Amino acid sequence: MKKRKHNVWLLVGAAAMALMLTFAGCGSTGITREQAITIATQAVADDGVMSLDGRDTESVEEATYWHIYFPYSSPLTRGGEPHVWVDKTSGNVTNIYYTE
Amino acid sequence: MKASWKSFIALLCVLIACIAWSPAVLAAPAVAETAAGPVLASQISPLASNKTPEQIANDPAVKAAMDAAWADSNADNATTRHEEGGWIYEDADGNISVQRWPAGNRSSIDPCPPAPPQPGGQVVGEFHTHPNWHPPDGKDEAGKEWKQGPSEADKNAKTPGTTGIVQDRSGNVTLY
Ligand SMILES: [Zn+2]
Repeated sequence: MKKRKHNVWLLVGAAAMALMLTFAGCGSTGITREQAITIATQAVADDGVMSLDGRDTESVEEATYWHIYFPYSSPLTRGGEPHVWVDKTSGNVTNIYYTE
Repeated sequence: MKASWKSFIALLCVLIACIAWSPAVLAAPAVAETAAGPVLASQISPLASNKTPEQIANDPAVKAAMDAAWADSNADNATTRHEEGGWIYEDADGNISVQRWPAGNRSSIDPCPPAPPQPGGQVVGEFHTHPNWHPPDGKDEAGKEWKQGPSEADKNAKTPGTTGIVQDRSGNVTLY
C-alpha cells in the first residue's frame, strides 16, 4: 500500500514536470528584448537612412514581434524616428519605417 | 481514493502556477519599456490666443512663411531635401508674425530658442515641413517607407495649447 502511494506521487511529479516544460515553451519568446534591439540597430545601420547618434532605445513587446524604435533623446527635436519590427520567433526584421 | 484526490489537487495547483507564470498564456498587453512625453512648457509661454488653429494656419504671414520654408526644403531633391520650420507669434493686437528656425536635417529639426516676448508677441504655434513622405504610399525614391506626420515626437515636443502645423509633399497641411 505504501509503495503504491509512493508511485502515485512519482506520477504526479512527472506530470507536473511535463506541464512546466510545456508552459515554459509557450512563454518563451525565442528572441529576447536585448537580441531584438541588436537586430534592429543593425537593420537601421544597414538601411542608412538615419544615424542613431543622440537617440534613446524603446522597445514594445507584442504578441509575435518586438517593436523597437529610436526617439531622439532631446525633447526639442521634432521628428525622425526609425521603427523596426522583429519577429519574436525567427528574429527576422519584418518591417522598417521612418517618421519625420 | 485519497491519493487520487491529492493527485488531482496537486495537478490543479501546478496548472494554475504554470498559467500564471507563462506570459504567452496571459497575453499581457503591450507595454513600452520607458515612457516618453517631454514638453517645452518651461521654455515657451504660450499666449492664450483667441484665434482657432485654422485661423492661425491661414494667416497670410504664416502661409507666406510656410511657402518659403517648403521651397527651402528642396523636397524634390533626394540628396539635399531637409526640414524647415519656425515659431508663430501673436502680439497683443492679434497680429501674427513668424520667426524661422535654423534649417533642419533630412528628417528632423531643432527649433532655435524662442525669442522673448517682444513687439512680435508670444509663441502661439509652430510649423515645419516633412519633405520625405511620398504620396501615395509614403515610399521614397529608394523604396524606404515614411509615415505621414505629425510624428509622436512632433506632438510631444509641441507646447500644449499652441498650434502645430506640418506640410508634406502631397500639399497637405496638417494641424495638431
Ligand atoms: Zn515632424
